[in-house]
Amino acid sequence: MKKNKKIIDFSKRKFNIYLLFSFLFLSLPKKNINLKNNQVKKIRYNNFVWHLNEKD
Amino acid sequence: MILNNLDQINVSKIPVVIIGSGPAAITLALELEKNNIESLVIEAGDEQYNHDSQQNYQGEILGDDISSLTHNRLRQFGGTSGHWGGWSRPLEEYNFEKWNIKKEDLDKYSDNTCDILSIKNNFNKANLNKYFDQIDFQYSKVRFAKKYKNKISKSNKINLILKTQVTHFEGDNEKTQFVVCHSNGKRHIVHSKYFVLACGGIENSRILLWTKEQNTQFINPVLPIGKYWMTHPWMLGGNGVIKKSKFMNILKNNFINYEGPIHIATSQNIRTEKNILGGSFYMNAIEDTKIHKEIIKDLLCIAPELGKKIARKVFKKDLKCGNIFLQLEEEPQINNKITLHKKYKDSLDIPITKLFYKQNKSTVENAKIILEEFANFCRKTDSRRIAILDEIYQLNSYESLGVNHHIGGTRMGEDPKTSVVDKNLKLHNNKNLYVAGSSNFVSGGYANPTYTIIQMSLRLANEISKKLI
Repeated sequence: MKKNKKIIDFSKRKFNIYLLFSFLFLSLPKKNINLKNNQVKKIRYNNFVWHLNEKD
Repeated sequence: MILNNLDQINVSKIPVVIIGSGPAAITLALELEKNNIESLVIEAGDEQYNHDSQQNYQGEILGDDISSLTHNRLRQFGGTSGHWGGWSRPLEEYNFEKWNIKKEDLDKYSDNTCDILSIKNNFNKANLNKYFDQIDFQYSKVRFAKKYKNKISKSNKINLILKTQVTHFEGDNEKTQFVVCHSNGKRHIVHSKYFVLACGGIENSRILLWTKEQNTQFINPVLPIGKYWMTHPWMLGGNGVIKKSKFMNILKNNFINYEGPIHIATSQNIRTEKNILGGSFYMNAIEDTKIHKEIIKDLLCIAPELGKKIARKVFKKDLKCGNIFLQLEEEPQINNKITLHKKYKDSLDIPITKLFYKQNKSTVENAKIILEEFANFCRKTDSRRIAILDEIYQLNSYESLGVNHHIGGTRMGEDPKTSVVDKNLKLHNNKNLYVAGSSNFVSGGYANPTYTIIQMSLRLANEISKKLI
């Protein structure tokens, strides 16, 4: 038990830095991709203005 | 009974005279009959369509082009219910913001209204997002003349006279004494306790305006008779592809799954947040395959991958592909009005209608906002894609597909300067003249007017009955 506590020690500085970087590299890019996909792309064609997604 | 002429019975003993025989008038007569109150129903037209009679509905339209006044209503027994589409739905609660009655004042008549229209009292609404609801309409097949002819023929409380044209009312001291009409080539004067003008959204104003000209002391000159006339702007707004299964995922058990068109209505939120009037739009149940091909062809050109995906599924039931038609609420404008023509008269020498109507700039702005928000919703939820007609997107104008709903002209309200009838549909400054029909509406909402017309007639019958029983 004592050994395990040493491995996952939430008060350790190293762990907090790891956690911070995980959020930075994992969450942010994902959010950016979603935003890009949801951005409107308007195309005027044959008397109509189509409202498409960027990825369309 | 159906009378052959007005001399057949002692009409002056009948306590209620109803002018017109459309849905508003027949509903009123039927409800009064239930309360054992006799009525005389005066119809200008014949039992069936008659071309010569219909010509009395001619009118001149100044401003923007709308459907001919000779063709978009019927001068015959049963009125315009002889060719109406039957779309029925009550107004929304927020449509009553500027009315001096509330939705609940009419909702108590819903069961009876549905009986009259032979429809189910089942009007669904499922919330798609904060701006839109999926809705449905009930479709009535009732032609009032066909449904009620036998009942009226056998009734000893409803007296119907056809081919009898009312010209005007006369009275004094704020009391209507009699109505003047022409029947079988003879001029008649019909006295009664109560009179109800129920001739539709054009004739109600025309007869009151002619009454005002004939008898200047009788009608308060400040009343805005004929003004604030409206319709439901009906237009092609765009086209697109809708994936029903996505709607089902969003709405779960609330999805309205029926064989009719997909109907979407704006919610109160979009009206408030975007400061617009509401509307509804629909994609037809069955579209021409030509339209499918054109839409898919366009999509393949502008978004080939998406186009291919959609093309593979276009004939599956899950995918709806077609034109989007809008039916919008219109801003009441004082300058959109019914007046009497100075030059042309009908067969009885009454001036024909001269209607001033200009499309509101706000209508096309509202259409664009509604369609853009819906297009955004479809994109973001991948319920597929929407295209807006360029003319609307550029806010140029819209092409009217027809003006079949005549609303306003005798609007309801408290102030005689801005309204013609009070909350009980009684003409301001008059003791016994009432008006029934969509001419009393303060706003049009997005729903077709007949359902509300009937609710209001039932309420009026209740009001008159209270005075007579």
